[in-house]
Amino acid sequence: MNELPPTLGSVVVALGGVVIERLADGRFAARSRPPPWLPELRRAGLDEDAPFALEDVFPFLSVFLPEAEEAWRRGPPARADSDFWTETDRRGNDIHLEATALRLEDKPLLVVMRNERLFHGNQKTLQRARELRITHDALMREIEQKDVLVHAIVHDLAAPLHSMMGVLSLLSEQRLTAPASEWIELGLQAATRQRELISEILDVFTAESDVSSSRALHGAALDEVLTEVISERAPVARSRDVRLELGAPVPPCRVIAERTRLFRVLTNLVDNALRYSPPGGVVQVSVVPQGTSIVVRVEDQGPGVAPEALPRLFEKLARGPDGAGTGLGLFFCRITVESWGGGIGYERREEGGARFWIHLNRSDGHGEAPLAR
Amino acid sequence: MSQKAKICLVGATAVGKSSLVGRYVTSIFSESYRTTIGVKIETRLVTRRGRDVELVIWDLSGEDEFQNVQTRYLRGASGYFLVIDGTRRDTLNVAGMLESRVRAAVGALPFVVLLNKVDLVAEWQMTSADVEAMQARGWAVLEASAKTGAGVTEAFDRLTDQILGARQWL
Repeated sequence: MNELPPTLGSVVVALGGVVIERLADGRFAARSRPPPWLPELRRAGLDEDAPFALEDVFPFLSVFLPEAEEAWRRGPPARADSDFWTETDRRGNDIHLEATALRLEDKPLLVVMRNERLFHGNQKTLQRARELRITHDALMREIEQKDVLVHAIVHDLAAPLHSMMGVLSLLSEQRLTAPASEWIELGLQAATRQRELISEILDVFTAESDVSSSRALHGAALDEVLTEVISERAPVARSRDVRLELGAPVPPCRVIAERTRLFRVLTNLVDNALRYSPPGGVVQVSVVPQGTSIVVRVEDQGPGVAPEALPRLFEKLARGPDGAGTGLGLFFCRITVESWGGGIGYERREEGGARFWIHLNRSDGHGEAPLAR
Repeated sequence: MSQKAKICLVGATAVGKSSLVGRYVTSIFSESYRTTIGVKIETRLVTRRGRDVELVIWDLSGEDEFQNVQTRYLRGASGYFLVIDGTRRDTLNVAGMLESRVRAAVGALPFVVLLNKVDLVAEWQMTSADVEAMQARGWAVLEASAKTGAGVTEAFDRLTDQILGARQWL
């Protein structure tokens, strides 16, 4: 056998490898004694000094050859390393191998090594990463399925509620005693609140599952939506002895938003302000142009947001100190506005009270529209 | 004297490629997941159409964000399996992408789409429309379960027959 220098060959064998040389005719021949694992692979032996076809002994290396050829062509110090490949010996054990191509003493060589420790180290790392990914994906699918279930349940809860409200309304029109009228009125108020909560939950579900709605691209008339919101929430403000006012008339302007959801976002912000305003207070809504954006501010004279609540203010299920609401309102506002490329924020007013703002991108092509300030 | 045919299994991570090979070659199935690194090569001698064929089966590491399928490993292949996990619909998209990459790398080869994990009926996410869409592209689509063994031998037989018909040999 035309072996490598004894010392070098012994080192390779001691490390569990074998050296083979590519011959001029494209076949290969062993240049070191075969390691113990090689005869176990049920392949042609390498101890006969006879040339062999690479794919007969190491099928994997046939796809590595182009890279090896390049390393041989370039000569030292160029080398090419194969990926790991695994073969099964006659006893059913996995043999993990890798190869290095290099030119040594002008001979194109392949050094094939068995490296169990490195293989298992790599496998452990990769397996852990993949298991985490698979678990993550499975959890996401489970959450999606539960969301759909919750949506269906909440939706179904709304139907009997509408019937109850209808019945209560009919009763309220009857000739009743004063206490009975008061109780029915309380029932109607509770049912109305329940309907609003259901609507809020369904809004969040819709926003999460349809954030890329193309309807927003058509834009919405901010001035019209704002006027509707102020007009619709005015009775609620009056009932709480709070003055709800629009800072200045808003000229026609369109923003990237979907009209129905924009109405819900603004209503959420106004309702929050009304809820925390003291009797006799003022809730002011104003519109400020900023370049290609428009900022809508909703300010109240309430206690403002507690500092400890600020980090989770726009997160899901972040409730106020009184535990009121679903904890979904501001979360819905954030994901909805962000889906339009806008933003939402909060700051404490210097004179006391809360200031919530949203910024929306204009869709009417006006950069610096002459909006009233 | 048998003839050799190299066949590969490609697909997303954890669709069950190694389990299918294990079931086919050794009739063993393990519930524990062991990720494949690089390639694992197995062989099995079969007789189809009166011919002895040594199948050299290349089980390739799955495609995901951590590793890409090395399409160069399909050089010299006579055919391949495109494996999909029927309980994970996203693996269907990966399979579609891999089919394009394989075709671009080594040309058109006989292949069979294998919908694995058919035993997990309650978690099944493939629809008949998904299957029909693949069939409309001329793809052979089979269902199998490495766990129960259902459809596994049939799938390898089907691919072997396709290869014999195509007469591509190592």
